Amino acid sequence: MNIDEKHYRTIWLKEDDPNVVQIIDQRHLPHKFIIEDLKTVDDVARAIKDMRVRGAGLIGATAGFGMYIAALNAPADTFMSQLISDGELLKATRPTAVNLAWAVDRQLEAIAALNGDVDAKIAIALDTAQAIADEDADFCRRIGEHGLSIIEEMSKAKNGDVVNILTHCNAGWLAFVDYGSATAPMYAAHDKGIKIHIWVDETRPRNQGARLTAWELGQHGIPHTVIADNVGGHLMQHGLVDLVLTGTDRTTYTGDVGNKIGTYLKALAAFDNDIPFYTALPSSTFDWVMRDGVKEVPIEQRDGREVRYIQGFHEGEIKEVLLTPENSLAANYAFDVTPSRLVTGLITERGICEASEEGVLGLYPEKRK
Amino acid sequence: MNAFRSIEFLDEGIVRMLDQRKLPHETIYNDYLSYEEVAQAIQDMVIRGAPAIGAAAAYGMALTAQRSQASDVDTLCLELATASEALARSRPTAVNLFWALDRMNKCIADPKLDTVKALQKATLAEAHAIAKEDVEINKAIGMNALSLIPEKATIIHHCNTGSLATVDYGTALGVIRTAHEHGKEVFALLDETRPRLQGGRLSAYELKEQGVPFKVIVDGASGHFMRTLGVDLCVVGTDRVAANGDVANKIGTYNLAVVAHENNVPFYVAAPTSTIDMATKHGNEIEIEERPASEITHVRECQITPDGIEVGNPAFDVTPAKYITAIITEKGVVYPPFEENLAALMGEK
Repeated sequence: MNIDEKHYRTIWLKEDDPNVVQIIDQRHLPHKFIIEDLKTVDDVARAIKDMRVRGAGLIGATAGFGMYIAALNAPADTFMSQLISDGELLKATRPTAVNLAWAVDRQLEAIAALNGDVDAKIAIALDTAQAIADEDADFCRRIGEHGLSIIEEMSKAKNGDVVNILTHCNAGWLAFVDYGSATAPMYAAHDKGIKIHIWVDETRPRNQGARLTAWELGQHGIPHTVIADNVGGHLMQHGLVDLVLTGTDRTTYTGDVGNKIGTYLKALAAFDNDIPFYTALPSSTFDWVMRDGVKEVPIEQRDGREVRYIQGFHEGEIKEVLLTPENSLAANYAFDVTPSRLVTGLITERGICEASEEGVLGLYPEKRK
Repeated sequence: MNAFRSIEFLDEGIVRMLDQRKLPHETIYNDYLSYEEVAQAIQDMVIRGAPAIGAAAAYGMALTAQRSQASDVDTLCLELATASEALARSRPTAVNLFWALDRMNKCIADPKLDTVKALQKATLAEAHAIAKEDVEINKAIGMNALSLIPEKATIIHHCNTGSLATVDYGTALGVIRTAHEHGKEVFALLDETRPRLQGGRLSAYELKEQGVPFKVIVDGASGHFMRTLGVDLCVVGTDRVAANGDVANKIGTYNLAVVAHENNVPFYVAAPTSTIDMATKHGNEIEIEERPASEITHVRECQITPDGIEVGNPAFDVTPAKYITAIITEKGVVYPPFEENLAALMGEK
């Protein structure tokens, strides 16, 4: 995606120093565009934990590059054990996104499998980190192509009238390395000249929709309207939504979708109004072990402070505004799980499938046990 | 009783309102001297909540009479008619506004009020009556709901329907308060209720004062709580109930009702009968107010969104009657079929 006409991914190696990884500190968007250097494993862990980077795909890519940084910094005599403990540190930063552990483990396997000196291991760690990032971008591009067919059909059915798509949170370019998951079909449709309009849930408490999705759609010139999370049902009742399209942080191979808190409510409202509800995801976001997402997906509880305060921009500074009375308790579950029966389909890099064990394993037959 | 009242009429001809936009951080009272100012205050949500808006409109009328320079009844009636129209234009969805104005206009039309003084006295008495009845009605709603609340109950509440949304005590929040005052172990999960955060700001403020244990949650979290932690019931207020039982209330109520239905959580609506509009047959006839974009783009002075974006900001939605377990009024609890039972309650059958 382009920012001020320069193409950016969301994570990359510093141009003149390959020992430094660079990210966009997303906490300051849309108000400030700040690029941050990551030089140590602690930098990487902090970037993930503090949500400077966020989104399943980008967290995975960041963890991948994090292991490369770990390899750069690990002492030769305790190289592997240091990497394993750095991997644990990275895995512990956030519990829900499955890509995090997946990327760390992929790095550990690749590095352990290589018979060579530390330099060779560092080289393979860099290759693997780049491969994780490239695959992520490539998968998202393909998700865009597959999802495009759904939007195209709707556009035809409406005789070319605007297709209204509601999305929750930011499953966009910013959440991945490029294109995004839920946004990839939107970018693809828009680029093909199909008229679309996006209803952007602001997505409390962290406002990723109002801040990030609105920002990146705006950068790309896609018409969009920001709404409070409460509004979706009302719009659906009045025929103003043709399609709900979200991302996911973890989807079970049985089709249960773990995603940003409030997704479940959107799915129910869509179901109640006969509106298709699709989730877009690269296969790295599938959990191939869990059967019952509602019971098994661990749900991160974040600091109640995020609910008690809202972050905004005032007189050139990012500020926090206290919303509740001083000392009021707040509960802050970051995710919920939408059961598969409310999900019309899953859009993956291999195509679209039903949100069911049969559907998912049909696309990924190598995962059959 | 709380230390605050949402609205008061001072003898010297002043309508005083607690500025709810500033809560919970600042407690500021504003004085209003004309119906134009009162209408603006309703529009700007200095005062909000269906019953409170009704009382504000009534006091706006009384204020107009009180401050009038008219020398004869006809001139005063003309002034009052103008005031009534202006107040009716302030906000479209809450029926209490129109109900209160209607009641004031009926009072004004009484031919026995043949002097300016008599009319002034009567309008003030009627406005006071509306305010006083509101408090009694709310307490009756709380008592009628008592048997519906388990001894130990986790309750989800949307928006603010407490003392601040009424003249005093509250409707849905009053239900929680009554249960608490009667020794039930209630725990409230308060939807923060974007965009104006009436839950996070106002309901939290009130329950804190009353010592009712609670947690504030984002509006997206209710489903998760119902499914994983267990919620015993939802109770919300309403801005208008249609004759078929469809309920207009703060945006997001429909989402909450659907998720409650899905999880077999009883969904109650606390409604004074002044909120029941038998002239509106069906919820889709209810006008939904669209409010300013700044409510989404900014919180106080802080900008949340990128510059120059489009915003959709409907203030209310309509929950179909099929998702409502019961409507709790001061005259009793109404169950489905609502069309029949509301008509019976409202004496139209």
